[in-house]
Amino acid sequence: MKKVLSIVALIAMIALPVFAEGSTESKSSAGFVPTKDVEWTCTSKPGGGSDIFTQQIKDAMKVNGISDANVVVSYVTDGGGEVGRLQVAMTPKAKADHTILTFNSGDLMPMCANTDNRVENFTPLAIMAVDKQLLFIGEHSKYASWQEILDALKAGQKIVIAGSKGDDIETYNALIKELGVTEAQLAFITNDATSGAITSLLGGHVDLCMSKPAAASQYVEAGKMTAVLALSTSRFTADKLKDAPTLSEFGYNNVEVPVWRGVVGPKEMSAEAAAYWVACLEAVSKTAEWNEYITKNGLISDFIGGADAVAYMTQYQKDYLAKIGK
Amino acid sequence: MKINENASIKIPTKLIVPIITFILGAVFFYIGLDYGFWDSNALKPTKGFFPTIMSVALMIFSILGIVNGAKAEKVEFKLANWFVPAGLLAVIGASYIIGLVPAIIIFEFVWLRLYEKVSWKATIITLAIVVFIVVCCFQIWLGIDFPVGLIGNLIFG
Amino acid sequence: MENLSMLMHGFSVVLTFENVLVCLIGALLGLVVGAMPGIGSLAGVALLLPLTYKFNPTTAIIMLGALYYSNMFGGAFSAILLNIPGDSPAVMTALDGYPMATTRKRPGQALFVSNMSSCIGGIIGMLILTFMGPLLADIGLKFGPAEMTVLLLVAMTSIGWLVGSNPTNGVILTFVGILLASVGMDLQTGSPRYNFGNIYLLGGIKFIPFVIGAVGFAQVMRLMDERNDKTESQITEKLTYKNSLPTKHDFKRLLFPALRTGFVGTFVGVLPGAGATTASFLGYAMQRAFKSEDPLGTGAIEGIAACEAANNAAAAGAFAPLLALGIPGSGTGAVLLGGLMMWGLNPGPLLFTNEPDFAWGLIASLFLANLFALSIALGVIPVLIKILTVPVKIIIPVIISVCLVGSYSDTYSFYGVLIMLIAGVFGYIFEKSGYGTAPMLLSFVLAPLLEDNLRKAFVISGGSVAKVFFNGPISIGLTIAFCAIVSAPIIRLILKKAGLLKPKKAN
Repeated sequence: MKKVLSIVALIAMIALPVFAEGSTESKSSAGFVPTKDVEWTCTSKPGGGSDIFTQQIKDAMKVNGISDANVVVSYVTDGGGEVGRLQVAMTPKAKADHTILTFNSGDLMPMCANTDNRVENFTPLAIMAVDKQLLFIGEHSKYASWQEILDALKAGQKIVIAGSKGDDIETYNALIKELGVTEAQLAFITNDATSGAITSLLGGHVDLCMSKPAAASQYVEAGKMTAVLALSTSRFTADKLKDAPTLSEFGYNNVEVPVWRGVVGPKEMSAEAAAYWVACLEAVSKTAEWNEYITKNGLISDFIGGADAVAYMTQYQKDYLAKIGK
Repeated sequence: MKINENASIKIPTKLIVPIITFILGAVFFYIGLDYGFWDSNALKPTKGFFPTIMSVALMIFSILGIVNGAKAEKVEFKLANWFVPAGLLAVIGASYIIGLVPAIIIFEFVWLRLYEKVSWKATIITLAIVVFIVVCCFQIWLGIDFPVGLIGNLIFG
Repeated sequence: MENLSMLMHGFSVVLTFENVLVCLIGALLGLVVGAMPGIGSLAGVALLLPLTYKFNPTTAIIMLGALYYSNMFGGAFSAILLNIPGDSPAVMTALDGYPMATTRKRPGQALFVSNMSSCIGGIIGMLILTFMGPLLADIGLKFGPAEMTVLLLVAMTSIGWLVGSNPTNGVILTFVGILLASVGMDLQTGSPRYNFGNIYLLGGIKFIPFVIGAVGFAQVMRLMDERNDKTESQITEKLTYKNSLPTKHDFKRLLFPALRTGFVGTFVGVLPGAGATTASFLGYAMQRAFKSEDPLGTGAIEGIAACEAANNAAAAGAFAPLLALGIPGSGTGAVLLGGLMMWGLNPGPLLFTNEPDFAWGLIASLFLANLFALSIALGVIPVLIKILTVPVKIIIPVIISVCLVGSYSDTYSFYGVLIMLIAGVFGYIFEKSGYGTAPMLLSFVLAPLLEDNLRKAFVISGGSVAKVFFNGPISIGLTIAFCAIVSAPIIRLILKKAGLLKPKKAN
């Protein structure tokens, strides 16, 4: 029985992608307009930076009448998001024009490291913005400034940072390398989303929290969190964040792992639909709502659309693969 | 062709089950060793830490289970019970060709009318309820796309 | 008192014709969706989010709250009537609910007990939420990785309470559940493990198909033995409305367990990541310590009441960190958070100050939804229990299809169906061989939480075991509880031996 099951399992797994790609070419008319609900996949939990980003685009599209498509955001966080990404990559032609995925550099890195899924399996639509991290202390933190933390590290104290997965880990690795400390001295705990890291910080269980401006903004505003270090080549410009110094102000090299936030469609998305969505996203990047989101969250607006986005993501992937030796 | 659905076989599963769980523990332990146990550089457990400990515990308790199971009597398995997974496999297989919803409808019909030989009336009512649950609730209302199979892809693709 | 007046203000927001209507519709839909296996309360709310697009934010969130809340009621229906838990908290409900509906032939009462306990637990949770919301959220924050580790250890060891007549078998399957749960992506290292190179296994073994298989599908396989029984159905008496009402005595039996676990459930709901499953499980385990009229697991009212009250209380408790801090305590909260943010509301420390209408309106709507869900549930029970009058041979193929569709819907692929099938076949063999599957399902849910917290705690403590278990007053208290639970059977054994020896000496 078990043998039969495993054979069937095998057949099913092999057959899935075959069916996904086996559909016949459909004749699409020039000028695509969404005709059914659009499924927008977000591979991160609600409340995190990726989700806020997704919701902002969706709102800006709706409020400004850029697209009247009914967008449904679905959260597929299984397997660190790999399952969601694979699902979108394999979306059959019939649904491909109505499927969109929020995709950022923090998604690309683990995808390349752990799976065979690549950017080539998607239709990159646009890069919307660049995001960077900061380190925050909590209300009742032991340390009040980055200088105090550096001193504590030098004195052999253990400091714990809580952060999210993906690009946060990359940034952390760059940070300990630059500071010349070990993982045991400056430890890092990974959470599913930044909200988990914030929980640990607010509870006083860790010393620092790594977050992008968006996820932390509410807590900063309420005075529950304070930025102590900008992981960026220059200080942030937002009001509540501009006091956070960069590493170079302490005599180190700056640590910056810029996180681009982008949007992709499935590989099977038609050129017409891709053009439609690129145009929508470009229109979004010019709205007042979008600008407000950018400034409020300390993001850097940087619209790269269509073929340029394809080239950018492909190059980024190539560099990353070379870096990890794959 | 007549299958005797009451045909049964006695298997010492009370012994086999802990043997299987022991093997499972051994496999997880063996693979877990590759994953490392303790990261002495960062002073933290690695991803093999928890599963390795748990697989050792599983192996120990499985041995207890094997000892208990060796004395236990065999368990009787009847053929009829296995029609259920067999039917499910048939539906999965058929859905690759004709799509999931038609496969379910045919399955219900075959099972009720040809296997259980219930009345036409009961068959039709049951079919209607199943179609309502699958198509109206899951497919239309909750918007779940069931696979349409090879034939469906040819028509709608 | 200020909170009470704010709550009253909340009610004044909610009690408009439109809002009440929307709340009612939400409660009704939530109940129906919750009753469908595979579409647990989480997926249900997520799938129904689009329905709220047409309303203004307050109305929309009232509908969403009602949906979410009544979903928790509906989850018990399929667990009690068909032994197919629709979502993880319902695993516990099925333990006593299904025997009560079938062997004790009291399906109506089982459903009534479940829903009334849900309502009681929910109200307790909401009252605590109303008066102690922000404080509650702060208590939740005190539970860091070290505290959660010990708490989860306490929870995991009390699985021992559930294993029944053959402890070794129960413990074996507990560990099987733990190992199966470790398949997939490892969060702390960001790398896969035990996935055998398979992309689907990278996402881990999905719980919903797993539970539908191990409990529901295995149940259908067992039902094949009964299909030719002379009686056309399992229930021979007439299932009238009057016959299904619980007696005064039933109500007395459910009241105290429900009240007790309502409190416990609320606090568990507040803890980061713990959620309704842990609550219903702890509630049930706790009931073991108290007296029940029938032994737990044989259809005891107390068992149903304990877990149902706990899980609904936890659902209410989870609103505390969600509203006061913007932190979703569980997956359920996360979906709701998504809904809140869709409306431009940023739940966080400022929500109560910036949007009092909204925050208190939501809390008030929870009260309303709780009552609506109860009254609707009480109305539909007489219709629902008719399911049990359907002959077994007709119900078998129907449940096969429902299991299939339900597990497919959870993953949108046959991967879910395969998990369901494999879990079902093994579940059947296990049960037949004297291995009850409940411990496996529970450890499957709790183990990832335990491991994640344990490893985080070790990172923070720098590898020191002592700093995990004696991290602070909460840890120390829980560690003592943990030691007590582990040593209790041993001490009892020693005492028994000592007790047995004495009479022998006397002879």
